[in-house]
Amino acid sequence: MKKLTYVMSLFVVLAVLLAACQPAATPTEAPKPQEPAAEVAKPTEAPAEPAAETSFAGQTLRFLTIQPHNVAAQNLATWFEEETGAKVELIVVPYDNVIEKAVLDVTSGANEVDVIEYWYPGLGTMVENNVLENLDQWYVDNADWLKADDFFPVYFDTFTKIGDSRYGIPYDGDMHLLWYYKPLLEKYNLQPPATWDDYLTVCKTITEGEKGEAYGCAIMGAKSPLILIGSYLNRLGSFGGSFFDADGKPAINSPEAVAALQALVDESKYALPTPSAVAFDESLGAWFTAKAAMVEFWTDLGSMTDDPASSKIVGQWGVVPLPKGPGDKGKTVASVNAGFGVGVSTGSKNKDLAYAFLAFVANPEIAARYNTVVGGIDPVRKSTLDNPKFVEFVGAEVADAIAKAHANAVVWPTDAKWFKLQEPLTDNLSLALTGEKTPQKALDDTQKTWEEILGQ
Amino acid sequence: MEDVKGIEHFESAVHAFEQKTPAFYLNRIFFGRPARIILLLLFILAILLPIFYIAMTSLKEPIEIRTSGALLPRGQITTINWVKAFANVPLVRYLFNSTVVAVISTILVLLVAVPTTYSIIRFKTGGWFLPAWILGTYVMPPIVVSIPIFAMVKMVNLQNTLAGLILVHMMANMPIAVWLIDSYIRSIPRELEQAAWIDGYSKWETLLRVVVPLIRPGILATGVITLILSWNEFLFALILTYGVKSNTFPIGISRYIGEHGLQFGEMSAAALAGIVPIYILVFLFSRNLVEGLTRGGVKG
Amino acid sequence: MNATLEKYTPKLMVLPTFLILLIISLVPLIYVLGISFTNSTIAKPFNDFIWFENYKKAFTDEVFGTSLVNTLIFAFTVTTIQTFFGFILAFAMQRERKLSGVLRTLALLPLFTPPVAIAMIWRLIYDPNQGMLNYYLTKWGLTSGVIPFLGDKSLAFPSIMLADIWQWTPFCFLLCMAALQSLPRDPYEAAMVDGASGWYVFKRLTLPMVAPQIIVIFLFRLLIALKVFDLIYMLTFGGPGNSTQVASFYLYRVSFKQFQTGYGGALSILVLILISVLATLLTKGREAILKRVE
Repeated sequence: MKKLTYVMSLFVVLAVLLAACQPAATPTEAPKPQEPAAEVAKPTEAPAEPAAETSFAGQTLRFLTIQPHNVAAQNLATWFEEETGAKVELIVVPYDNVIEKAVLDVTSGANEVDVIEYWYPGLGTMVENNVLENLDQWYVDNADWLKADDFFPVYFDTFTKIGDSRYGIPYDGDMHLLWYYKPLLEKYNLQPPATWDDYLTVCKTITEGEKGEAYGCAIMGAKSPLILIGSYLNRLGSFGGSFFDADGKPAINSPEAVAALQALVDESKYALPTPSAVAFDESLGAWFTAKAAMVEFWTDLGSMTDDPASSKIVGQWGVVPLPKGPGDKGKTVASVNAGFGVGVSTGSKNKDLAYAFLAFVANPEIAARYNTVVGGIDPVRKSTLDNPKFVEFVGAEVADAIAKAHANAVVWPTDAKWFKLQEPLTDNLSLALTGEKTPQKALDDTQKTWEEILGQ
Repeated sequence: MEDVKGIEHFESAVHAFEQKTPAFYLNRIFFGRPARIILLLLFILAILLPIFYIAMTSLKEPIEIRTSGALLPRGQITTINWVKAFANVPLVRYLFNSTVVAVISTILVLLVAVPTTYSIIRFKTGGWFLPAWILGTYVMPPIVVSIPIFAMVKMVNLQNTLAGLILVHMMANMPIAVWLIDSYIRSIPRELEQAAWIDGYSKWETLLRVVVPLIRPGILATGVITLILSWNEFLFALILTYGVKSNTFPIGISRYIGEHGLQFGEMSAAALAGIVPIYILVFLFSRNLVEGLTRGGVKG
Repeated sequence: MNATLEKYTPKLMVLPTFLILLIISLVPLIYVLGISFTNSTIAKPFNDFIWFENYKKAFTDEVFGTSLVNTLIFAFTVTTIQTFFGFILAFAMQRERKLSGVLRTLALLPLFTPPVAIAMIWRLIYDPNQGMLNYYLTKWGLTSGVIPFLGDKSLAFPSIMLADIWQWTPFCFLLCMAALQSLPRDPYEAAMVDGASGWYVFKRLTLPMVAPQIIVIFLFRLLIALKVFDLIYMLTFGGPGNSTQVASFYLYRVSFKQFQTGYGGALSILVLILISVLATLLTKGREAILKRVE
């Protein structure tokens, strides 16, 4: 008993000590930017006009953001505080938890969050649950400086619009491109693939040639909707298929959709072992260490790859659009996997401050800042691609690939039912990858489940 | 045969009657000393290997972690992962939060569980139903009740506070505490308490002056176990807390997973930073812990 | 006055516990039972009363069926292996006094490592390209190519089980050890006089005497194993395919990912019924043993 008392008091003393030194150590109390942020935290340009008018000194805003964008959010917090005096407290959650956290926060009435960064396929779900403020009037009031027509239309409409209303602004425009490691392709005299057939050949040749030292491709097939459906959509879109037909009815077992899944299954036999267990981390790990010759990844991979601290292949990579599908229906696409918007929570207790922050994030000049530091935020405005600073930051090759890709963007559904639909699809895709179901059967089953859910 | 006294169990029986049957050799192989030692050493190795592996991983260069799964670092040993773990994530704050929640919820658990258990066992309060209910609550998957509990915490306006998490952990750990203390109270001879009553002690006084001093080891063990359970708890902490202010350590370290690649080195360092305090507790209290756990599980 | 107070003291002593149980189990259960008859979503609880539709749906839900079967397979497999090895190890350690102190302390470590950290450790160990297991398997020439432990439909579940076995075997070991130590001495001495062999003594004496306690250990551990969530959440998300889909994780998915709280409620009730049956067994078993001991 005595011993327990001792230890308990030890813990209490420890706690007090920790508490005493904690203000210096936590970003909440004193936002201490991380190293990459430190360089950019001192803006050289003049501060932006719209947000600077009011002072919010002493107030605190809570910004719900995703873990991969933690660094970017910390930059935003620092800049916003410099400009308005308001503190920004970050609520950082894993990327696949953000919608549930936001919905739970508002529907329970906890209302801890003011501004939300959301994964766009969850937009309908959030609007249905009344999580996001309607921004129609806001867009009218701020049209002057906002220059909404500068947003890429595909992001602007997909990320923010449900029915005829808008509920957020585009923030991070994430598309997949095909990245390749030059030395491995050169070793086997291969060109970056133009079609999915080429892709299979390249992947197979390298994998068979390297005998386990490296693999022709890494395919992300881990069982999480964002990851697995993303890889599938890269093929589905270019094969000319889609989730729904022109009338909005499920079309997930169309011949094109089945062929696209068949391609995914065929390719996965030669991919980095094994697609079913490969998510971001595994894919990136293999890419940085020259173990995978091709990866489908977001547009910011280039700047990450050129960081010698984590990568062994600095400057040895190239990038092309995703391969084209076969036949008449085949086309080149850039699928918008991931992609994030920012909106104001209906539960915000300080709406003025929340809207000020929204305006700050939407501000083209601020966007130019966060698009040119490592932080995973890819441009959503056309003008950013012409910005010399951005072109220098990502390299001309990537900027060019992004520009071309926009013409061919394919997107995920944002309907309120989508969160119910994506889970059975993920199950069945995963079952096809493991060989428990044929692609035809997997997609037939998905079609059936979707019809049931939508029929309710 | 004269000296059987003091010889333990049956090994001596084997020696005493060396019957050269197949069963005898079987005995030698499976019950012999070398086999035992090898088995136990393997056990120790199996326990320590994964822990040792992350300790080594936390000392490797990030790029080496990505290229090689070797146990020992081949390149330069580095402290960069430790430095980064503390710099990139407010680990100190998470550890502080976890400490506060674990210590206070444990004290509350003990305050509630000891009288309850005493009452259930000595006065049969609640009959068979109350113990069954307590056990039933313990085996219920927390995910089942997470939404209503979230709503209730919100109702008393304690969401996103350490106080809210403390209350929930206290309530969630109460059943296991009762289960653990149970056997200690049963082991107290009734005569002692009856003597106390005759001396004019009230039931509360008996509990505090007679029973509690006698079951100190049990309270100690239970306290440490609930402390650790609270320290390790994931689901409620995930749902009930937001942001640095109230996130606990397990939520904090789960933050390392992300789009830019899992930083295994940093994550190993961060995980160790949170595990080590617990391991120190374990070493300090191993005897009580073993007893507390085993009595709860076996004898009831 | 004092006498009245004294009379109600026992009730007073359990009052806080009673309140806690109301808050943490009864009220939530009524809530969950209530929404299980509705077509609720997270924003609209108690929407649209549909009686037993959710339950009907549950019985035709293949993934739910798979998850229940997987949960039972998981719980029974790991519990059996853990109890078996725990017993063997405890048995072996009985006469190794020097090792026992060290081993008892070490056995506590996996038990008290946060599940988040355990999942991370095993994820790293299993990783095909940067993990230890594949590194040594290939290096020592035991396998020709790398083995995707968590990505193979037939290996993923056993791999998760192994992580669980690592964490919980020491627990069973400690309990078995206590059970063995509590055995009376006299019968053994009698057996020695009779000249019985080790195996015979083990079969005829140790096993029958210790069996009831082992059964309780088994059940106790089984009930914890049925709750498995963290490892699945952090290692496989129920995949590949549905090979590691378990009940807790599926409940989480239905309620928190698909926001079908009504349906999630119905599934919760079904899972609870299953667990209650097993819990009743445990209480009964425990009571029976208590009677024998006292």
